[in-house]
This record gives sequence, C-alpha cells and structure tokens, in this order.
Amino acid sequence: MPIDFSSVDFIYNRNSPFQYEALHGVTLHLDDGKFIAIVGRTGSGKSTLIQHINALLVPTKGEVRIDGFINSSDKRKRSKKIKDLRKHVGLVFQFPEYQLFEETVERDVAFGPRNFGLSKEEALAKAHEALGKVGLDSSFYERSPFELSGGEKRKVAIAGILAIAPSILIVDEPTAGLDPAASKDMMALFSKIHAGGTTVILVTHDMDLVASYCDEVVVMENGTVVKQCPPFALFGHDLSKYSLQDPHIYAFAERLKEKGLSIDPTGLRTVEDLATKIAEAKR
Amino acid sequence: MSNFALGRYIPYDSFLHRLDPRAKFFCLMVLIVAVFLPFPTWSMTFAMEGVVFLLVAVLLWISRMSLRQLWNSLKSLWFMVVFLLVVYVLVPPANPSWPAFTLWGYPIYWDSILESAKIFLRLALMIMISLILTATTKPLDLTAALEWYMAPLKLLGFPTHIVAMTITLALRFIPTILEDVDRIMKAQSSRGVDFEHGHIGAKFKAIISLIVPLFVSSFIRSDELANAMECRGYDPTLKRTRYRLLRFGWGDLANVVVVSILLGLFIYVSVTSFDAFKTFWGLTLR
Amino acid sequence: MKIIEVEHLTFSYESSSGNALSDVSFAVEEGSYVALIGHNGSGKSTLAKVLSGLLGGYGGKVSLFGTELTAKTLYSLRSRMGLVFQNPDNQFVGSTVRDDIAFGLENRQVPHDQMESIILRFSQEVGMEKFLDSAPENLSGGQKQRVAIAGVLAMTPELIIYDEATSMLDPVGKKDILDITFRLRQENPKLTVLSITHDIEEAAKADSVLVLNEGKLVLSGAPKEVFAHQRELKDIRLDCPFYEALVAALKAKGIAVPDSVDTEEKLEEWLCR
Repeated sequence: MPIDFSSVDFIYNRNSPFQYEALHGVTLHLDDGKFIAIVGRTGSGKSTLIQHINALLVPTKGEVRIDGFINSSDKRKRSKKIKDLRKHVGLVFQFPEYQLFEETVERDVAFGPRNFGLSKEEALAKAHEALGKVGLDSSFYERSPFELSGGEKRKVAIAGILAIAPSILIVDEPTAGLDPAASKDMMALFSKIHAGGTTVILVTHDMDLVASYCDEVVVMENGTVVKQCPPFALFGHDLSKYSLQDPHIYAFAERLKEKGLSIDPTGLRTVEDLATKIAEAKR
Repeated sequence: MSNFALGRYIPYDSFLHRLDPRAKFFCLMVLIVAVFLPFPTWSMTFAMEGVVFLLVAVLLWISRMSLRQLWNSLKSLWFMVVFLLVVYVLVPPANPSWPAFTLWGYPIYWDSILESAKIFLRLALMIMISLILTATTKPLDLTAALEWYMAPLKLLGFPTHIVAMTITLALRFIPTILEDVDRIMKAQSSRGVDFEHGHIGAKFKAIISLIVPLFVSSFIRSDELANAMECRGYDPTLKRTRYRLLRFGWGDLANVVVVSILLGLFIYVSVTSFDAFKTFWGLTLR
Repeated sequence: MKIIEVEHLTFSYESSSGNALSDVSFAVEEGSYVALIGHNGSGKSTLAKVLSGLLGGYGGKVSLFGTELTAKTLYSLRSRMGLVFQNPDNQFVGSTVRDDIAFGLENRQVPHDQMESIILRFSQEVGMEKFLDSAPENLSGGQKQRVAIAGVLAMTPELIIYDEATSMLDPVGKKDILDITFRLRQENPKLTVLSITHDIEEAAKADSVLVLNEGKLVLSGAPKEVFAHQRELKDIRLDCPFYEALVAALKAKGIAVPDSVDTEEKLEEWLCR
C-alpha cells in the first residue's frame, strides 16, 4: 500500500497561545514494500508525520492517502471509518513497554486483534504467532507482562502490533535504550518482516542503522521533507546541518578515499564489507 | 498545563501578581466571607453583593483574565442554577410574600427566583474570587502560602513540610503525567482502542488500557524520584534551608488592612441589619 | 586515593534466585574516567544502587573516599558524590530549572544568600543559564540531564556516577553530556567519573573499562585491552567499538595492523601510505 502525502500542514494547539506548526507543505510518496527510514533532528516533525499515516492526527491542511483511505483536513473527503486504517498500519511508539496492561502476555498481545474484531481464539492464535516472531516462546504466554525484563517487555509490545498483521509497520526508535545485542536482534526482526512483504518505516537518529538496513531515506527539517533518496546518495553531503552524522563505516571509507586509497564508500553496510573493500584496494 | 486543576496562572506583572501570596490568600478568603453574609432585604443583599462584584470585576481586569476563561469557569454552574430554580419554584422558601406570576395555574413567587439568583451570584462570586487568586499566583507560591498557614500544625506534630513537598511535586508532575496519558492513549488507539465511541463494555476496557499503564508508570516514576531525592541528600526529618522566601511588604500590609476594614463594614451592615436604602433615601424596598 | 573500592561484593534480590552480583571486586582511582559496561540485566544498575547507598544487605565491602559505606556514613559520603540517573524526568524535582538546582542546596542547608550565585554559576557551567525559569515539560531530555548535572555540580562532588545517563537521549543530547563531562574533567583533573553505560563508543574513550556479565566482573583494563577480546564480548551480548571491529575484520582479510597503530586516524594514515 503506497502512502501519499499531499501538501500536508499540521498545527498543534490551534487558536491557542501555544500554537505550533509541526508540519508544513509536506508532499511525499512512499512506495509499497520498501524499508524506509525517516530521519531528522528532534523536533523536525518525524513523529507528527508518522501519526498521520495511521490517522492518529488529522492534517490541518492537505490530505494523506493510504490504499483507498483518505485522511483529509476536509471532513467531507475524509474516509468514514478512518480508524480501520489502523488494521493495516501498525505503529510502534518509542519505549512501547508502557502500553502493556493486561494480566498475561498472551492477552496483551491479543488485545489488538480483539479490538479489530477477531474472536478470542483467533486473537490468541495470532498472539502466539506474533510472540514466536519476536522470539518469545510459550513459557511467556501466561506470565504477567510486568514481571518481564525491559527488553522482553519491548518484544511483547511489538508483538502486540505484529499480531494485527499490518501491511505497513512504522517503528519509532525501536532500539532506544537497548544494549547492542538486543538492538541487533530487533533490527534483524524488522528486516525479516520487511522480507515478508511488509512496508517498514523506521524513524531513527542512527545513520548506521539506515546504512545497514534501509532502501530509502527521507530527511525532515523544520516540518518539511528536505531530501528523499537512497541512503548512499545522502551520505557525504554535510549532514551535520540536520544534526545528523554520516554512518561510521561510510565516514571512514570517505576519509580513506580522500587520503588516496581508492575505495567506493557506496553500498558498504558492514565492517566486513569495508574490510573486504580495503583488502581489494591494497592489492 | 495545570489549568483545570487550579485555574490557569496568567503570567503578567500586575500589582496583584506582585502581592505576597499569603496576603492574597487572606484577602480573598475574607472577600468570600463577605459574600456569604446575610443581609436584611433583597435590595440590600443585591446591593452589597453588587459592591463585591464590582470590586472583583476590577481585580479580574487587573489580573488580565480573559472573558473566555471566565465564561468557561462559570458555565459549569448553569446546571446548578436550573436545578435551584426548579427546586425553589416547586418548594418556595418559607413564607413567600411576593407573588410574581402564575404558570399553568401554579403560583410562582419572586422569592423563589430571587433566592436562586442570590445563591447563583454567591457561587459565581466565589469562583471569580478564587480565579483571581489562581490567575495571579504561581502554584509554587500558593503552596508556600499554604505551608505558612499550616505552620501552627507543626506544633501538633503534623508534617507540614512533607505535605508541602508532596503538593509541590504533584504540581511539577501534572504536565508530565498528562504527556504520559497522551502517549498511552495514542499507543492504545494504534492497537484499535476507540476512546470515544463504543458500548459500555468497550469503553470500560479502553479506560483500563489507559489507567493500568498510567499507574504502573507513575509508580515507577515515584520510585525513581524517591531514589534521586535521597541521593541528592533529601531527608524530611532534617532541617532544610529555603531558596524561595516570601516577603511581606508594605503593600501587602495595606491590602490586608483595607480588606479587613471592608469586611468589618460588611459584618456591621449584616449584624445590625442596616438598610441603606431606608436610611439614606427613605425608601422601603424588599 | 581509591575513590571507589569494592571488595567481594555479592548481592541478590529477595524476589529472584541467583545473584545479581557475585564476588565483584574493583577499584577506581582518583581523577580517572571509568566505564562500566554490560548487557541489560548484567547487574549494572544493581551495582549503581549499591554504590549510591540505595541498596543495603549485600555481602562484601564497599568503600568510598577511603571510608566504608554504612548506614552511619551514608549521608556524609553522599554529599561528596553526585548521581545522574537514566530518566531525565524522574530526577527533576523542581518546578523550574532554578528550583531543581536549589533542591540539592536546600537539602544541604546551604544559606539562602549563597544560593542565587551558585545556581547561576552551575547553570552556566552546563549551558542552561538562559533556561533558569523554564519548566521541565518545556525542556528536551538532553537539557534536563544537563540540569541534573548542574544540580550535582552545585554540591562540588569529588565523584560523579552516571547511571545510563545518556541512554534515553538523542545523539545531540548524548554529545552534550559527553562534552560537558570532558570539559569538567579538564577543569578539575581530580574529578572522578564512573559511567555505567552500554554505549560502546563512549566506553572506548574512557581511561579504563569494567565489563559485567551475569553479575560477575569478567574483564577490566584499558579500552584497548578489553576490546581486543572481541569473541568474548560478542558472546556476552556486547559489541566492539568500530575501531576494534575494523582491525579484527582487516586481520581476517589478511591485513595485519601493527600495535603501534591504535587510533582511527593512525589507521587511516597507515592504510593510505
């Protein structure tokens, strides 16, 4: 399901002294099935943007189209059952652990599917499936979510969205606060989900993640989209003005290139890739 | 913003804003007492309440209160007004002596109408007076004033400083907890919860999905906060110095005196059943 | 002087079986910057709580500034150290930046007339002097952590412990905190910093690194030594800094990097010669 933003404005607290324009003139097309990163400094509008995709927010101006659903500022044009959009667009917020509330893990994960009309049995089945995907086995089903560790809680929260089986998955800083190994596991999970055909939209500050996993990156600054391109077309173009940094691997390769070693930094996703390229260049 | 809890603070620099909060508290409580005093006749009642009303209106204007905010605070009274009117019409106050008109053969007395109006006016004035206080006084200062007034309780062993700290912390965390509420609601909405529509069962589940995480995160907050406070050397049993001190100035003294005199006058009028209209203009009004 | 000395520390929570910490021993010298790393659940936060006196009932001995940490010595030892915790909101006590910095001063009975200048000075130290009257809900995570540091500094501590203080911050916030810490140590070489973190790149810049796993101290030493144990680190769910990972990958491709080359810059030079 492609996503289309057409000249979207969004103002928080309209007509109040705390009015704040978070998005203006956002026009954006996101292809189906890609692994897209949305990057930008804190306050650039990333969170506001993604909340328009599942209709948590309605544009002040303009409209967002997602597969037949229209999230429009114009009430007449807006899809009647816009909340059904959330069956197809799953949104995982930062630190999603705080959304857990049920007595058992499986019931919490089944909560989403239940809300979208599945029977108790069907929902539990979906829950078990989703828990399997995040690497939590049946020993977790009956446990209370509150006695789990932070990393486990996060997995349960993510399973809660996966159980809905959305065709678009949006994740906001999923690795925040996780240790390196857990981060890697998390990103591997999203890679797998993407490989299964889901469009994955990753909101992040970490350009190393963008380099390693994403097909396309959208850069936001001051509430508008300033760049949209494949990741390697973005690097090396003074990202510091967006409070972003080139990925470590890319930056190192660039410096080698400047110092005379002919290395093409494009496409280098891992340290091994880099080492291979260096070894080749030295021969 | 801690708006609905206490009435929003309006940052401005009027003379009201600069008054010591303890003096303000006293003056405004005194005004409320004046509002609820009984007076001999209807005309005297409304006249005296009218005087207070004028005073309050001026003070509200000085404190830069917007009409919209005032309206928002008062409109919650409409239900009470209607309720009162109905009750008083059906059960008129003792010895009604002033018939107004008849409605479908049922006698309606001015007594009923005026009694409801009187109560409404008093309540409205009380709200407006409180608004003056909250509009011109930062919550922190209000707490400090409260702590000062509670000081005598310390002698009875009441932990006033702990209560004050609790209130201060609560105020500090209201906006943070509101943000939590917003986030949790958004997260649950993304899972298909509809907080607006749905039958009672669904609504109940929706509330649970909000309340439970909120409680959990609040408990975690409290725990972490307590640890942090302890590590920073907080010990409620030990003496602490104060950063913010309240300074009582001449302006505050003048205010307290003026307002006390005003109250004295009101009490005199009330107690002696002084009828100004009769005394000054020879009119006998109800 | 050994600012922190931990001897055979063992601790287990009542609710769980197994030890959160087992026979941990280490010392931190005055003026050093020590990073304590470990995966989530390795015992890092338990250790932080023990060092700050929030947890008692442990086996072994903990000494701070040469004095054993006990219920009696706790209050005075705490006045010589400052802790910055992970969640920026849950340590922000005051209703404004000023009030928060003042909180620590009030606790330590600092006289009223000294407070204003202290607050101003330390807010400037962390670059928050323009936000003195701001409320926490209007500040970013990084700004709140800076205020926490100001509050800690106002007590002129000899030791600062960061308990995952940057893990909830965005890159800008992280950098701010690290820059401030670096500058503080330059201005005051006697200041000791213990940073509990899982940010490998930050640990790589420390004077020494302690590695915890399952409650045990498994590695310790200078970053270069510690991060040479790539296999072990990966096994315990940690990672290596970029530099060490690259050197190992190059070695696997047949390029042996000499020991004299120990920074990224030197490596660049060496590769391009």
